[in-house]
Amino acid sequence: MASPTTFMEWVVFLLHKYLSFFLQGCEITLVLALVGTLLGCVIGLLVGVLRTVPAPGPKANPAIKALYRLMQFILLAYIEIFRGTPMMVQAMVVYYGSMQVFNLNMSPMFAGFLVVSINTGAYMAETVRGGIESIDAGQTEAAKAIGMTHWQTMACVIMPQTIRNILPQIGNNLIINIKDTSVLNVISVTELYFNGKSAAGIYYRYFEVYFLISILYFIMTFACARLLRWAERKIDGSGYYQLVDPLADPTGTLPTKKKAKGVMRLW
Amino acid sequence: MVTDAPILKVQHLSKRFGDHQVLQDIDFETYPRNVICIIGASGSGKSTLLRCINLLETPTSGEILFHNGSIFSGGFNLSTYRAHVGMVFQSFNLFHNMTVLQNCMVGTRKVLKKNKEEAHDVAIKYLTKVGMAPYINAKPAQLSGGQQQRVAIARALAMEPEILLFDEPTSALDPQMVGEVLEVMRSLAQEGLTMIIVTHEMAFAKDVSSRVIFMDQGVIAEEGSPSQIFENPENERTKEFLSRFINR
Repeated sequence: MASPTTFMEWVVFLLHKYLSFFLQGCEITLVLALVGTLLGCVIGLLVGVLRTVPAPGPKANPAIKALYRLMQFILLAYIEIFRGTPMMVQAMVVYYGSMQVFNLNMSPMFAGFLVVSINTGAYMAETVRGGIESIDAGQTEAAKAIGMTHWQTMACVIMPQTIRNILPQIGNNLIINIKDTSVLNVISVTELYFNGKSAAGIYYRYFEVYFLISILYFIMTFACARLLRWAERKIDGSGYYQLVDPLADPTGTLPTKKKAKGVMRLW
Repeated sequence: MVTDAPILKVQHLSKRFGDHQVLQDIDFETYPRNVICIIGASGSGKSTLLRCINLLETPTSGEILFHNGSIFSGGFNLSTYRAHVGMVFQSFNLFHNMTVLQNCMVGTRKVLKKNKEEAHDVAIKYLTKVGMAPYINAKPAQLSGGQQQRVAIARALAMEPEILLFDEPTSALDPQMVGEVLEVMRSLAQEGLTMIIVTHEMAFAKDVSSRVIFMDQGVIAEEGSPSQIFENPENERTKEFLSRFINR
């Protein structure tokens, strides 16, 4: 094969030579983004729920009041610190700091998971708090009025509605994470950007390599966006309901016209 | 005629929001099978009184006795009490994430700890009573206001409460839907369910109540049988308030 000269020839050449190398990078990027977003959501849900625990009343035990205030301070500090510093800097601090201060030799991947999860958690915590506070107070009152406890109300009524409402924001976070895991190249995580940088350095073809890399990033984010939209539709369920006669047929629905063929609509 | 002990006794109940005295020295009793209608102008404290009874608001002072036990005493189980005292809201407040059937089962499952089959049967029984059984698979957002309110009544009834509180149950509905909801409430009254109803539906109040309470500026201004209150009111404020409804 003659050495490439034009842009397109270089693209084809690099694709041929490095596609599997780039796909390995994609895999690491996706795993980091998916796991980081998932763990971040778990952290965010936990912190968000704790942040909306009602304050103890004026007659409550002073120890409980102090504990409540301490908890709120720690949670707020966590959110402010991890929202307020760049993820790239956090990666450096966590990776090199753990080695120097705690003598912990964590792998770059492990540090990557840690940083992405904790960072996403800080953002998600505020999203969850906003989501909980946006649920009509009447929902909580109705749950209390039939005798449900605070935690039952949260688990059965408030959280299912909150999670549905914040799903678009979870999607945002996933897409941001697919792109922003590229900063983990500073601690040598072999994600897509890092692999791109390595490949580009060999032939000094920066434009061609990053052109390919940008396409791969876009395919990943676009696919995830469509899948999340599909998940939202799935949760919302059918826009229609079937009338039933529960006395005539206690097991379920009346015979009605055939169900429409299920088409997986991604748009 | 009344031989039973009162289910609920409200004594010297007061509620203040900051400097604003919403309720002052409220006293009344509810006996089994009573239907008590609370009427009065907006802002007279009717809804707050109802919300104090099931502790959605904490009264500033006073006492509420349920079967002669104070609901403010240390050992009192709030969750159990609320299961015995149902509430129907002006804005329905059905759980948006659940179907009609799930709305009517969640309380019996989680609070009364009934098993699934039992909870299902109870839910169907009361949904049938309010004429909403065919809609068990619908989500609240897919129903009209009147239908939602009837489901909300079924949800409260599924707990098989001793008293049911209604906080302006028809105020958010158009006239046709008002009719369907009042019809359900009327049949409940005839079956002997104990109810405390805050309402602006004077004809309904006159028709179904065993006792009417007229509230004005946070106090009970007048109390008596429906014929007493609607035909021979003694208090000037009561006369003035009712004249506005009669002249409409």
